[in-house]
Amino acid sequence: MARTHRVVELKGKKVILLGNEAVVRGALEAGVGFASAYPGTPSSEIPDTFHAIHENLKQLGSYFEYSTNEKCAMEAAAGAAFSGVRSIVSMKHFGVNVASDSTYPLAFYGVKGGMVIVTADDPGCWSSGQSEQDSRWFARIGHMPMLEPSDPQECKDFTKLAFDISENLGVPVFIRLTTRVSHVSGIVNLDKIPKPKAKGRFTPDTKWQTLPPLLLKRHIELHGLMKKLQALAEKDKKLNYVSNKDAKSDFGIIANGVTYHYVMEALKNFNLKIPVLKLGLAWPLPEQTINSFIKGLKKVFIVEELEPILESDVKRLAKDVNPKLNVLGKDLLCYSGEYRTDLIEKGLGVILKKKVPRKPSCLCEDTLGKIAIKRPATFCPGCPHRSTFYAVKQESPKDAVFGGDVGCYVIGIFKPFEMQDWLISMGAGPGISHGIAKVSDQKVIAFVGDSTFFHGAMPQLVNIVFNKSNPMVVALDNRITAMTGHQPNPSTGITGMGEQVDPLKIENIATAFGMKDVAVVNSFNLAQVRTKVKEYMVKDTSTFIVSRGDCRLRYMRLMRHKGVKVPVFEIDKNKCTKCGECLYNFGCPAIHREEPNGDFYIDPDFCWGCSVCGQLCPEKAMRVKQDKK
Amino acid sequence: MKKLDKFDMVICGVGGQGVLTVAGIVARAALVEGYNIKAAELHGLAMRFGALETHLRFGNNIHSPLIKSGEADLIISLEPVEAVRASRYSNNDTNYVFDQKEFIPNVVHREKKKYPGVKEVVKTLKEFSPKGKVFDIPASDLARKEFGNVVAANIVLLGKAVGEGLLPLKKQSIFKAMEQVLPSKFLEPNKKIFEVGFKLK
Repeated sequence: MARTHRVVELKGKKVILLGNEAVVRGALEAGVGFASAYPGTPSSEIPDTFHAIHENLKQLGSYFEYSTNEKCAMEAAAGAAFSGVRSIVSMKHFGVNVASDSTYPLAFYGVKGGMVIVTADDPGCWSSGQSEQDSRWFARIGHMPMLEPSDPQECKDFTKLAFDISENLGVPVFIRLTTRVSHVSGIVNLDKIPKPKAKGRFTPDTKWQTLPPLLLKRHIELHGLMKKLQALAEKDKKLNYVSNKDAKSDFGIIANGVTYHYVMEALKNFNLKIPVLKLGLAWPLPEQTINSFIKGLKKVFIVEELEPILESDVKRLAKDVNPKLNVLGKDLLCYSGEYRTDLIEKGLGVILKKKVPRKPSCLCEDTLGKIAIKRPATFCPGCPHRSTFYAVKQESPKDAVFGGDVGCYVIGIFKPFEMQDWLISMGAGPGISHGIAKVSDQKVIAFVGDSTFFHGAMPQLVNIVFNKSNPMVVALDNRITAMTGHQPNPSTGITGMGEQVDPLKIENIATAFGMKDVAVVNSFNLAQVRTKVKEYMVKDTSTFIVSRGDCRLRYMRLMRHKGVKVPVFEIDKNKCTKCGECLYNFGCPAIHREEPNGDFYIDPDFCWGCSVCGQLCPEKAMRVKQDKK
Repeated sequence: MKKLDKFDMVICGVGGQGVLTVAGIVARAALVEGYNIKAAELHGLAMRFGALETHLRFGNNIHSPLIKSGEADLIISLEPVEAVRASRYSNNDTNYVFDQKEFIPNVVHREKKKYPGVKEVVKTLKEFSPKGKVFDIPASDLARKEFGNVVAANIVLLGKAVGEGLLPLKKQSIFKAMEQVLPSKFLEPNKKIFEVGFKLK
């Protein structure tokens, strides 16, 4: 019998949940009827958890989908909420950029069922390579409340609360997470999961309020709604509260999200009791609560990651209630990267003129730097992308331009390939390639993944055809959204509810768009990829190649679960001339050079049997390794 | 319940080696023993064979999910050089258990660098942590022998850490936690491979 997923454990239990899982539990406890998402780290486990419990969702009558992109996910969740069903939609911060066109009018239109929008920021860019973005602005632009949980228990509680606020005010509510909230595990106390209201009905009773003049009236109304929530929030002791309230101190700290826990850790290490105002409501700000906290202080330390938003707000508020207040923050901390206890201690050390507490250590930074050689992310052994990049590079002119996009294939930015000339947004590989092809005589080759193709590259492709430019577009189709953890997409053949569906073929879509030269090749067949790339390279019109090969990581996991042994390769030392093609130009992490003799070998523990190194070896020195037994 | 203020542990290795599985097991074992726990995991790009680090904290007085530098009580590493990378969290008493199996990044070959061997790693860790214990064990070799695959090396290391008393949790609690997180068909083999590490001299 299948084990009960921890997210659907019974009421009264204490379980360890990831922040993202706790958001799902909160939604379930709030009676969510509809969930949609486009995966993006650090938010990806929210949709993955809904997907994992799809059988439970079926029993409850509720629904989950992996949408084609964040805008689709946002609109779908809005449709459910318009019809009176509670909905949740999740994405990473960049996702809200994609969805923003449909997001900002939502509060103007209003929702009937509670609607929660989860956005996950990534201070320090652990899994984001486009910009270091602060999602807190979204709430202010869109006139929507935003809650900031700090740990898994709050992820659950705040998500539940967000549904109530949303229904009370009739506007969607944001939950803002960061990497160290999404990806932190902790103990969560479970409450009851009610039978959700999963069926709704759309009645066209809204008052044209997204058109002027009602739109302008609604704008004023929205400011009133935020004031109403502000008043409610001043009384809520779970959302915003003061720790060490009774400490006699003319110095105080204000923190939001996970930074609150770093502050508490730092104070523990200093053995200090200083009042800390923890803000769970990022928008609208509980101004009275802040005012009464800062009134009697001489100094206040604002601890917030990314932009100095609270800091400028506190400075503004202090002008009225405590003009002499010394507001400290970013100058003692950092504008970029994530915070840690160490950083807070450093700041506190400066403010309080105290020595930072440290355990005795013989650590030598120089030695550490020398031995801990950098280990950049690389394509997995047997990755179809490595093979495609290798083949395309072989056939490309020296001054070729390589359009980069978002997916596992960003790793192509590193050596030995260096074939991702930019990383801007999903779809910008082909999109920017078009502009370059219009003004430059260089050969432009744009890469795009399968999920990215559906997500954001289709209008770009149409633009290439319509406005007649000539990039070669290479679709890297591994039939799964690999980078964010193997979520199904329209090319996979399975839905978020675990149902079979006909996979969409990228080549058919490209053909329908009017692309004349469209080909499909097998990523693991080097000769086939090279021949097609060579043929298309000389064309002066746009061309489209689908390089199809299953994600090897997923394939290997599947084989392991089935108990199937995948053959591994070895190098025949008598044939190998140590030319280095496989090691330096292909760069498979399973291939190594032995010291001190310089012999090449394949590590059998990490060879995933794709056979491509054998195809590219000029001496044909690779062969299938036979079991010794 | 034991009065334990805090226990700070780093589990690290190369993405894909099973770092998160160990963290999940230890966290649940700590809950079984009644502690508060916080674990910080890293996902995303780091999974693709890059350096991966997980922080696990348990005890009755913990706030931050991340370990402060110099506070780690135990570092378990699935790769020798990664143990050194994690030593920025070490102090003079930190204990180490790591797998001898090297995973040399391609950049070392391409730039013709020298990859530090296990001996050099042990020497460095002993310098960094003069009062701590350093165990380098052939976890991957043992996993391959007993399990048929190196993926279970993480459990061998965990067994060794518990067996040496470097992780203040009971074997029974670890087994209870395994029952909660591992697929049922892999449960018994994992318990067996844990014992291999536990009894390893």
